[in-house]
Amino acid sequence: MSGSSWAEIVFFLALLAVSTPLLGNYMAKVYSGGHAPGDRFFLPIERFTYRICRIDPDREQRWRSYLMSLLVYTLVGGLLTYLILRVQAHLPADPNHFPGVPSGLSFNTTISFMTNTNWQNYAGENTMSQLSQMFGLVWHQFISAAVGMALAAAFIRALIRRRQTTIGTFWVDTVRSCTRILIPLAFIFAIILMSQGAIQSFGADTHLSMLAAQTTHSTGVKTLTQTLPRGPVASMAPIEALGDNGGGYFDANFANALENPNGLTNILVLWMLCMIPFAFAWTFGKMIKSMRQAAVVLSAMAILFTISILIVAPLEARGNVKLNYAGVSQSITSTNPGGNLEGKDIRLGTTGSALNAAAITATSTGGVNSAEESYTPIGGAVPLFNMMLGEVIPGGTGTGLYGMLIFVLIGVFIGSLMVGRTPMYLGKQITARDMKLAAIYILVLPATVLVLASISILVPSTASSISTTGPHGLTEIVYAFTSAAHNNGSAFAGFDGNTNWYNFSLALCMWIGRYFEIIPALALAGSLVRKRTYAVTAGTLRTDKPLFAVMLMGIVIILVGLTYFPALALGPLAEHFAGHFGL
Amino acid sequence: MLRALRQHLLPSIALTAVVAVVVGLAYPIVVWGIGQVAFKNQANGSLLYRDGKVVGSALIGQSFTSKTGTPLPQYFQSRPSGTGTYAYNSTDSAASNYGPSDPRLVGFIPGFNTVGLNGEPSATNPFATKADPYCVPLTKSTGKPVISPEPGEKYEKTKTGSYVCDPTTVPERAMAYRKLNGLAPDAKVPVDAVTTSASGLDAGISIANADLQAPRVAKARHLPLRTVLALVRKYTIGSTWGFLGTPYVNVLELNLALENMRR
Repeated sequence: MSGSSWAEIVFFLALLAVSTPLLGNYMAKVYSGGHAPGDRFFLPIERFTYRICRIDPDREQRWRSYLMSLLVYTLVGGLLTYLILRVQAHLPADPNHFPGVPSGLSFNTTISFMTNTNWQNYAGENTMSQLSQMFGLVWHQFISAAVGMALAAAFIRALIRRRQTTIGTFWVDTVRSCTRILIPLAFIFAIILMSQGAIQSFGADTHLSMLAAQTTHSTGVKTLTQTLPRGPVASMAPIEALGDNGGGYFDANFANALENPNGLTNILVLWMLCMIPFAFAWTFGKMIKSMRQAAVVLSAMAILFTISILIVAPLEARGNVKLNYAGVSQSITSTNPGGNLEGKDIRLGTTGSALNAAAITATSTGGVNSAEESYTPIGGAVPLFNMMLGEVIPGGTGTGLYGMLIFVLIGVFIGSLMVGRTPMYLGKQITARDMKLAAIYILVLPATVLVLASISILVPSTASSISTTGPHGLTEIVYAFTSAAHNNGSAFAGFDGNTNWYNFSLALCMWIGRYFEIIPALALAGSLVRKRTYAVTAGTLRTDKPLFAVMLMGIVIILVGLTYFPALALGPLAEHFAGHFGL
Repeated sequence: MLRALRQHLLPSIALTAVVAVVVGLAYPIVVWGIGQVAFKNQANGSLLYRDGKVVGSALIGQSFTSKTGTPLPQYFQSRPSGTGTYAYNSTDSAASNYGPSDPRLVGFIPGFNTVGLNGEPSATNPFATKADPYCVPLTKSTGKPVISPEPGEKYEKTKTGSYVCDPTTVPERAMAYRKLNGLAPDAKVPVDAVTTSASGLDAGISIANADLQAPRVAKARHLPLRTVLALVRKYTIGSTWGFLGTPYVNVLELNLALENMRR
């Protein structure tokens, strides 16, 4: 890798090191209920919202009520989006006269955006009207992110409070996540992206003849015409990243230059998508008033995250050894960016692309800027493995934090049993019931992914969705279900998911992956909030020491790594070693 | 039941309406308004004009080929494109999505991904021609490149009896590139010249790629080579602050400048 590639990686990590404490402190104030910066501006807006929505902001909810509000709210939004997609042809802002979206695809897309997955079985620029994009889909991008943040805030409260029953108010947490964090940040970044060339333009697409056609007077030849898409892209891109959604306006997501015009916007996008998840670990420390506990969680996230970058980036910079036979120059010089450029845009380079592959899968974003299918075998396995880890390094907005805290509880339980002590975290005793909930939380995803992927392999009629043969074909299927269940949304995009079976099974996967994770997590919060706290004694396993961070990383890798190992061995590892891709 | 309705359903509907209006309408329209005032060119797609007519966007690449798809020598050629239906179709941005060992990308490499005509693994490429040892043939029934040969399958052949090779594999593209630019048969080809981009709409090529194409363009246009090279330098877009992204040459802007020189 070249010096500028290393500089890019260091710069990216430095941006996160700056934003984590700043945003983390701010978010802790937002979710703590006391005074927060900007109250004079935001409070009147929030009070007005509560009043017209008949919400009592002071009425706290128990976990079941919190969950009910969440489910009903997302269901209402889902119905609205489904309706908009179906009848988009009869609504305004459809300048290109796209017909209504077919029912199977609408169903899949609605579930996909409700669950913060943003798996896209369609190409936005030729399927969705401008209204469907900015109204039907962007709505979910804000709300699914805000809901995740609300859940994390509720989970933290459950750890702080003693012998209580309520964990906060769903409506307040969601509204404040939007008004104070997501909307202001999205707005600022939208202006910056637009200034760099991200398009924000309404009206019909621009039809033109390419330069070669205009000068050789062969205008009107179909292969030499271009239709430049227009639409509200600059406003969608920031929330696509900030909310870890990943559903882009265009099929190629962040690879399309009208969405992500240059190296600067690329790094800003990467920053946006990691900003909130990392900051949440800091917020956790502020709210429980122990930065040492937070340091353990944050460092486990950051170390695993950095490792994944350091594997993908050099592999992609080195290139695809199989192209050497054809006399292709992949070595890096000042005039040749080199590396594995198949499926990568030159303005972003292999490093800007590799950073994206690692970051969109370590967070639950999935907004690709390069074709992961064409990565080197191990380079493409790392994004897959990042997702398999359960979206906790650092994971989605909020969902990553409570996911990691559940891994912490499992770590405490295993660690305490190994040394014969009572399992306690933050002074709260971890009981068998809590462990059952945690076990459900970590087992639901692998079970869903592996069962549905196996069925898909066994049913002959689904085989045509796979674009290739051999181990790579297996990776395509496993990647699709892993991405759906972990609510990521990225894909090995040669795979065709727009069939009846996959529209349905992937939607099922996304739905289970979202709600059968939220329910045990909230139940666990409901259990934790009732507990009294005990003083930490010499007999307690210390969870604020580096040793526990190592333990936590081990738990994350072993628990999920072993579950998925057979699939990884038959897919990318087989492709790598059988193909002599070298190390 | 009624209580649950009041507690969950009414706020849900009301809040859905409020949030939808704020983030689904007000937010994009305000951003649009600011864009139309402050960044009119960028917000409308960085359009390029020639004689008052739109010729494209500075951010979206184009094909510089004849009607029949052969590259025009007087233009710098963009990277290959994997967009739907035809190259550089900007309403269907897409990559090739071929895996790193897919024959459609790397060709049939003996001892690696070759399969015999009987469908069994084979140490040699049964489709190899003298010109292209990595040849991937096209099936007669679909005209698509074959990934895994099956017994009894028929393939396209030339009049002389050799197989017709898929022209979009990297080895084939490399050969075509050398031929177009008059390079030696063993000359190294920059990787961007023979691979498709993620969007299929890459506006750029590497400087090395442009430098190799410059003599051909200069000859076709009867221009001194240094004039063409100077233009290549002029339309080279550096990476932001020297390290964010990679430097590239904007092909459409470069070709547009060449075209405008003619008058």
